[in-house]
Amino acid sequence: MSTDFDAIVIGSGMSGGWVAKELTERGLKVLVLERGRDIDPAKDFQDLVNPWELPNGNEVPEDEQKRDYVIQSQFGGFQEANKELWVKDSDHRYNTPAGKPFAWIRGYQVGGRSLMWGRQSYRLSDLDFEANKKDGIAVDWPIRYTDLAPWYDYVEKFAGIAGSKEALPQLPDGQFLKPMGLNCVEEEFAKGIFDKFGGRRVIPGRTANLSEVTQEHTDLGRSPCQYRSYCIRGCSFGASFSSVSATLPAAKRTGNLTLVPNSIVHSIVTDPTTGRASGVRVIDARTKNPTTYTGRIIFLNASSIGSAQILLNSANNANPSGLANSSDQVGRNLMDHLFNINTQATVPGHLDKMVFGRRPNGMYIPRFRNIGDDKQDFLRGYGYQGSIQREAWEAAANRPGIGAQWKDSLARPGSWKISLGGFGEMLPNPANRVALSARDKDKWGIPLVEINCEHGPNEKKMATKISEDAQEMLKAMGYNIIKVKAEPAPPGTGIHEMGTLRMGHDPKTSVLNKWSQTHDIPNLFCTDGGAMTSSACQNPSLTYMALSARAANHAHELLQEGLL
Amino acid sequence: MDRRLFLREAILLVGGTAALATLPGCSWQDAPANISRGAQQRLTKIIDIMLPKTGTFGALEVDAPEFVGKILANWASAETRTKLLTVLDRPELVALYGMGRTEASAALSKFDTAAFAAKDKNWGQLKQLSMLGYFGSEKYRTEIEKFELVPGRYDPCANIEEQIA
Repeated sequence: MSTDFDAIVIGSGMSGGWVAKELTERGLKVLVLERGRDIDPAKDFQDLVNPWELPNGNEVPEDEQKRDYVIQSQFGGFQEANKELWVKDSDHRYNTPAGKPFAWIRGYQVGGRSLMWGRQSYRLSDLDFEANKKDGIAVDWPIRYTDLAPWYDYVEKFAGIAGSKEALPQLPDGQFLKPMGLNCVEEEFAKGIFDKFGGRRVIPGRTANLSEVTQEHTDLGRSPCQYRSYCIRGCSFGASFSSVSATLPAAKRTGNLTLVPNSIVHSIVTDPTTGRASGVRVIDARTKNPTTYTGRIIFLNASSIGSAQILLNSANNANPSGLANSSDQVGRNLMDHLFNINTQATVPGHLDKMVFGRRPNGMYIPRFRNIGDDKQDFLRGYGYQGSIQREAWEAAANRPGIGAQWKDSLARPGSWKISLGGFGEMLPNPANRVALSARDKDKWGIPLVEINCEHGPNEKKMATKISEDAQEMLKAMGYNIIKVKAEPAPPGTGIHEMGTLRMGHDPKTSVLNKWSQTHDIPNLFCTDGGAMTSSACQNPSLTYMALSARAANHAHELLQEGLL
Repeated sequence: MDRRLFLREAILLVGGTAALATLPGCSWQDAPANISRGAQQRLTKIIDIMLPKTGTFGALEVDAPEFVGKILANWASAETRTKLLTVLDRPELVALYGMGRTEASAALSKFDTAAFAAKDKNWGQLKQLSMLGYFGSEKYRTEIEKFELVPGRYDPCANIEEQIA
């Protein structure tokens, strides 16, 4: 196999898959390096297994969790049926200071976390792109909504996003498939919130599940959603968007893709004469044998923390603080969404109704704080995700009851229950950072990452308001609140790491330019979460996709013009 | 262990021959080595009273006690297993063996109410596992719940009587 390519993409997850697709479709010979194993959906996805066939009620044994998955098991989607899709923390360590936990939830395999993501897909708006500049926070985004809008269109059509057009300025509409809509109780909730809170909106979640298919989807072997809601085990129907279901197959059919799993990137190599990136130094995850691949352009898509680690570990004489780090911003400004601020309530009535099928989606309450005339004592805002579903027998496990009558009563669905969880914007803070350990290395000889990140005063004020607003809405609807969790989970738990290679106008204060190209090294790009200049409050993956397609297109143009 | 010894252990645990009359079926297949016969017997009795046969099948018919035993053996850490098995030694639960079904049901109900009032997490977890063994069983999910692995469609507002019928 040749070790020389037109382009090298580091990472095969959400953003790397997109870059691979775009570059291969433009005729470039592309190498995708994936640190994890290859995936065979027929063998590795457990979505066609009946629930009673899964060992231990689909729970990972306690001793195994404690030994191998102490961080990954903090995520609610971690289960016996998909445990092989999460990293073993015992093999992939990192350091955090005492009292500052950070949950780094990862999936090292072809497709990365795109196999297990939540699929919620929202556009950012100019409310978000202009926020840093207006607030005097961090640096200004070097792009605005109009720069990204056509690329949002482009990726939505290909990925397949089920959603409804709502004409909300803070949450632009897109190229949607038919929505996976609200159920009848959620519809009533939406109407009530609209009436009681001055037009506040509750809408169907926008989700990367195929509610219907286009020719573009079927050409890749993708089928419509079967309403199983087992997406997090991997989707054998290809209805859930992932690198494995969509972008990598698209890249593969061009004949221009070389995918090499089990390839841990040690560092990026530069040409001492030009200073440009010339290749990638790789360690085989199984044999530990080193290989160096060369390429004309290199894309970092190893996730926000992983990409920062690679650049910092690529330090050389000319770049002693790490590659593309003349600004000293590589690894800084780590963000994640405020997460796991939950409120639950029982909903009276509607006992003659239920749903059929398991919708892999919920409802969404777009941001309403610090918009228009609303002014809070914190910056930015938050949205809510949730659902209203009938309780099953599990609810009865938390209250007294045994015997014949009790057992038979549980054969019918229980009350309707609403669950609302806030997703809040976290501000960029240079002190929240990723650095390399000077002492500890992993078993491949790469310095461990040290993650130092905590919520600041703005996040703490916002968290309080997220909980208060949720309670206020549920009370106003006459619902009976049964659970309030007002404290956010530690950073990382939202699995939306962002900001460590931020975009910006000025090379002195940012790592990437408006094309996701490093200021320092023009043939080195990054389009994963690291590129985000602010976090907004929307789930970010759709923006990574749009940035990836846009940057890949630009890189190709530069190559054609002979500028790279 | 032969059948006589097995029964003797169970009888000794509950304190006399009176228990024989109410001893539920206990024929665990591949019983876990780290769950004693006594624990198996007690678990079987409790789960049978908790989830009895009614117009629909009971917990014993779907092997719910065996399921809980396997969970305790294979999922639980040694610490969790000890905590949950210790629940079975509570005098109120041991006493169930000397009772007829009606009396045992009333006694277990009283114990359950008191345990929840006292926020007894160990009992709560054991009860939850028992419920999972019943409501999560193949027989329950396919015959009562009408579970479909691949629904193929979503109806956001179905009439319950049509669905359940």
